[in-house]
Amino acid sequence: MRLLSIRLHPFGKFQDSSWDLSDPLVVISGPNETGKSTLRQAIFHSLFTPTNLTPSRFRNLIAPWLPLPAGDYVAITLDIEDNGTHYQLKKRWGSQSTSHLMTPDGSALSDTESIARILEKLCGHNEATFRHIFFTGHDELENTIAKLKANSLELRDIRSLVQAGNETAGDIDQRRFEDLLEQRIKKYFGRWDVNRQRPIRQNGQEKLVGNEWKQGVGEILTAWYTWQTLIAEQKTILRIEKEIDAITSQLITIEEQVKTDQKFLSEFGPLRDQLSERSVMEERISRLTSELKLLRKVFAAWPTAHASVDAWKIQRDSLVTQSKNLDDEIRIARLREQADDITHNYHAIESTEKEMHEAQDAMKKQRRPEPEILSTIETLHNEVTHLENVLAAQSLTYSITSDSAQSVVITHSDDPPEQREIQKIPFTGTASGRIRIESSGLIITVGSGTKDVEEVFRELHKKRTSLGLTLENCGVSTVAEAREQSSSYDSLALRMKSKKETYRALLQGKTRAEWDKRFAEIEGLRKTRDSKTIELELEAVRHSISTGEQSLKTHQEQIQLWEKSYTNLEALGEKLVTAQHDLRTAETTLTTLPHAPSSFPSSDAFVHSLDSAQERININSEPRSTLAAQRGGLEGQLGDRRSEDLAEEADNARNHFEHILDEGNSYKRIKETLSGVTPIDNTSLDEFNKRVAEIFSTISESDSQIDFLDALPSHITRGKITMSPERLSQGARGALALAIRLTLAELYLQSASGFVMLDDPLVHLDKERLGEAISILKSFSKRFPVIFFTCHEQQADLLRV
Amino acid sequence: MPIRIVHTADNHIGMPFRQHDDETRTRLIEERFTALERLICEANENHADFFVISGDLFDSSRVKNSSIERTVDVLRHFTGNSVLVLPGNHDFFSGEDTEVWKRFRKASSEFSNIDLLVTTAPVSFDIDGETVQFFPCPCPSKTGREPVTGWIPSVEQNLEALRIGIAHGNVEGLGLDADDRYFTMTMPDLESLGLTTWLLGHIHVPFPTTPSGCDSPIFMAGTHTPDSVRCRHIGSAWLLDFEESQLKQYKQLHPGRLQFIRIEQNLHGGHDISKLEHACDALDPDRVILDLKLSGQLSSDEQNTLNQLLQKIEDSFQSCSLSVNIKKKIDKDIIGAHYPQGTLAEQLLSKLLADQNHPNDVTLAHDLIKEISK
Repeated sequence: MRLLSIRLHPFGKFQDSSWDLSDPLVVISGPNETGKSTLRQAIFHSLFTPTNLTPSRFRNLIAPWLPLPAGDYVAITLDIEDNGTHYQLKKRWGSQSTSHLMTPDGSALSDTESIARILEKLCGHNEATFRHIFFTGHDELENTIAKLKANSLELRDIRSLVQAGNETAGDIDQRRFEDLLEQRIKKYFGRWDVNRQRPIRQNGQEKLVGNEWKQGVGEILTAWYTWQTLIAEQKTILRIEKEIDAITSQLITIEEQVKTDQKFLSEFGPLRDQLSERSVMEERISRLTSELKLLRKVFAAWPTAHASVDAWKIQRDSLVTQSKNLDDEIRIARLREQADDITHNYHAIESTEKEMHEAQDAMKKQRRPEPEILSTIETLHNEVTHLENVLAAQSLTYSITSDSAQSVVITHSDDPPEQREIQKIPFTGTASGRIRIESSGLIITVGSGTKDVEEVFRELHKKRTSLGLTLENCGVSTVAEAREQSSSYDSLALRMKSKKETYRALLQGKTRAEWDKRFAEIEGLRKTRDSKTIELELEAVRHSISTGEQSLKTHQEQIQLWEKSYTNLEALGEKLVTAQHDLRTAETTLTTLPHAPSSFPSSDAFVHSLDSAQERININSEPRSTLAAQRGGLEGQLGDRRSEDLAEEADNARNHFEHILDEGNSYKRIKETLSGVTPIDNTSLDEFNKRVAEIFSTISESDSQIDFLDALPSHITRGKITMSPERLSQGARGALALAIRLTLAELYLQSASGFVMLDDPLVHLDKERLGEAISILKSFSKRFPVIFFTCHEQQADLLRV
Repeated sequence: MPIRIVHTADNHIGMPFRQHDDETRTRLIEERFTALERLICEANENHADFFVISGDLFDSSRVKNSSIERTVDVLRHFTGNSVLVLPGNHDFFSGEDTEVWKRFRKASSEFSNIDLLVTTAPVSFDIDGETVQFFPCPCPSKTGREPVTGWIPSVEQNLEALRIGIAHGNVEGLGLDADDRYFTMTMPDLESLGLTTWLLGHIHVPFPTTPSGCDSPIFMAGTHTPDSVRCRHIGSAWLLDFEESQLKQYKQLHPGRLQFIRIEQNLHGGHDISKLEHACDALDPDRVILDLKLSGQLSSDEQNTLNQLLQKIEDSFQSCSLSVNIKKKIDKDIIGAHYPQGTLAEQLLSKLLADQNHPNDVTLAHDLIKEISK
């Protein structure tokens, strides 16, 4: 970007003046007060000051340049070239302020924001860069010199400026900034646990209100403690209020009880004595009534007792005699009862003996085969059966048919022959061992073939014959009859044996003769009632005797007692009359005494209630005092604090805490953002130092070597002499300052186009250095546009050459 | 003739107002008395028969004797039948030894028109042949979980009379009582007790929400003059007319003369400052206790404008508290004007400025930079 021309119409003292700024080195010269500073300011404002200013900004920035005496506006027209294209900027501040930019394509912009953006782009550097780097008034140079002189130049500023020139971070000391930021973060986050949003624990212990951290407490934690303290205080107040309420409730209960008791006592207290007397009288009446009842009872019972004693004495003899008679009767009755058993047994002996004899006779009459004969019969029977089975096993079946009716005789085994009529229908049958069929002189005999059937038949016939003879000898016709005979005989024998044993048992070791004798004795006893009946009657008589005796004893003892208490019946009568009289008197007295309230069952109960009420009042006195004192203490703790007020304070404290926390987090974010900003690069410093030394050496016309300590010129060596910067002459210091400024400008202008404005920067240089400096400037201007202001025509002339 | 009642509550005589400066505190303490005086005057002008205070006449049971005596002196000027005073939960009645009421009784002993309602029993009055029965429900403590109206179902009501309940506590749906600590009542329960209406206290916001009408089952007086910035109304009481044992009409009264106004504003430019100025101009500086909480970011010029405005406000408002947390506005122009391009400061500030979620970060960073530059 290059300025071509500027017109002020008006601005400051210029009503309508223009300047050509198109040369690489523009020299504006003139004595003081000719408007050089005005032009410099006009150039600056045209590029960087918007026309839509607030009144106060207008006052501060533009108002000083309003034309006197009463100008109300200033206006500038600036022509700019950028990469061969042309822009014309018109600005007016004050009345009817406007901004107007004609762009290369012919469009006209009047929007302040749009114009500012385009200018920013054209300038390539921001306002601060122009102000601090490109525009060097001789006061800025003076500052540089002054700082050099004082050796207090903050060359870290320069370093950062240098690094900024190379498009790296700068303009404040990064390390210092980081330190300050770290301090700030520490100041805020001291003892604060970000993860838990609580104080950091100490050895695992919480450091809450009541156990606070004392050292190293940050702003956040301080605000948090304040907030939590107020919450705790609020809770305390609520707790105290609750405790007060609880005590109040107890006090109310006690008060109500005391009130009730006092009311009761005041209403009924006076009745106490009379009711006490009433109580005594009631007790007396009760006692006298009981006594009178007893006397009356004795008075009636005494003669009765005497009569009972006399009557008993008469009755007792009769009962004793009756008892004796009954004893005798029961003895005989028991004897008879025992005799029943003997009689029964005697009859049993007789009948058993008879049965025994009968069984014996029957045995004698019963026929039976001898055991050996019976065995033979069994054997023969078995053999016959076996042979019959053999034959049956060899059975033959047959079937006979005939075309014409014929008569046949059929013989099975040894059976008798049978005649049959045979026709066309077959006649079938079976036979054991052998079959013989005869018809019309034809005889067909068929045997089984496996055995000699004839032999079997012969054996069978023999056995059957033998068996028949044996049975006949025994007098029976069949084997079954023989068995039955034997069995009957055995039964009779058994029966006879059984009866014999029974008979022996019934005798019970005695002989039959002894039993006969005993039976005869029993038959001789007299008849009585049964023993049970007699027993019952005897028991009743004995009971009567016992009861009577007991009653006698009781009556006698009672009479003794009465005689001891009352002497005799007459004395008792007198005592009775006295007691009646006393009772009547007490009852009369009672009617004159007041009653206990109807809600009480008795005077005693009422008096007891009065006593209880008084006792309660006494007992409650201490708790009342204690509770009232407790409540007073709690109310004292409370003071005039209100939970509602504390709630608001706590809320405010919470807001403050959140605000502080937010600020703390802001600092952390700033730190994080800072880490993302390009770090300092030290290499550019060497380049800067070299270039400064080069320019300085040229201006000073000496081969000076400058030693830098972290961008601060620490020593300047000329020839063999080395000195610190404060030992330099004013001119040398001025040269050094100029060298630094030009080098800085070079660094910035390498990255984007711009121009430099210098306001009498060579004022402190002597003649020798001046020439070199001008030469440096001319050389500089060949690369970068320079606008040079001076009130020294000589310098201006030298520059214009 | 209608029976006319003026109903107030939560007067909190003796409230300390410790969070305010001395001058404001004095004004507020005085206002509590003067507003009560105004209400008594208005009741007298309207020929009210009863002046009912439904609890919290006093801020606590430890109110100074002078305040009690002064209060009695105000109340005694009521020209109607009776001033009925019910203990609330701040000035609860816990027995005859309750200090505040002992002293109140002593101070009011010679004025027969001041009745302290500490007993749970109906209190009857005869006004021109019409019987009015009040059912007082005093608070026995600061807090309680049971409603104070529990005794009413067990007593016999004179159904011919105008029956009015007087109670103090939270009403479900009207107030916030998350812990259920303040004798919470419900509308259905109150209506079911069969009284003509209820004159209630405790919630500092008046109910019903309409300033006049002819029907409401309950009336919450609201405080007679505001006591903090949380109280957005200007003070309230009710004027109630009853005829033939029924509510005929009600009208809201405003005895208070002070108002708490809090303006919280985030300022980001001259437009916001103008808005603030207009808001303050609309207020009556003699009657408003103003609390300004300002935050935001302004440029130097805007800051100056604001300072001038704040000075004007402080000069005109009798009571004004300021909390100003305005940061210097850092924008692209300011960065560009002061920090050469590419420098650490310029890069850092530009990056922070781009973070719109944390607008304060750039301001804090700028303050740090300024600190280094000093």
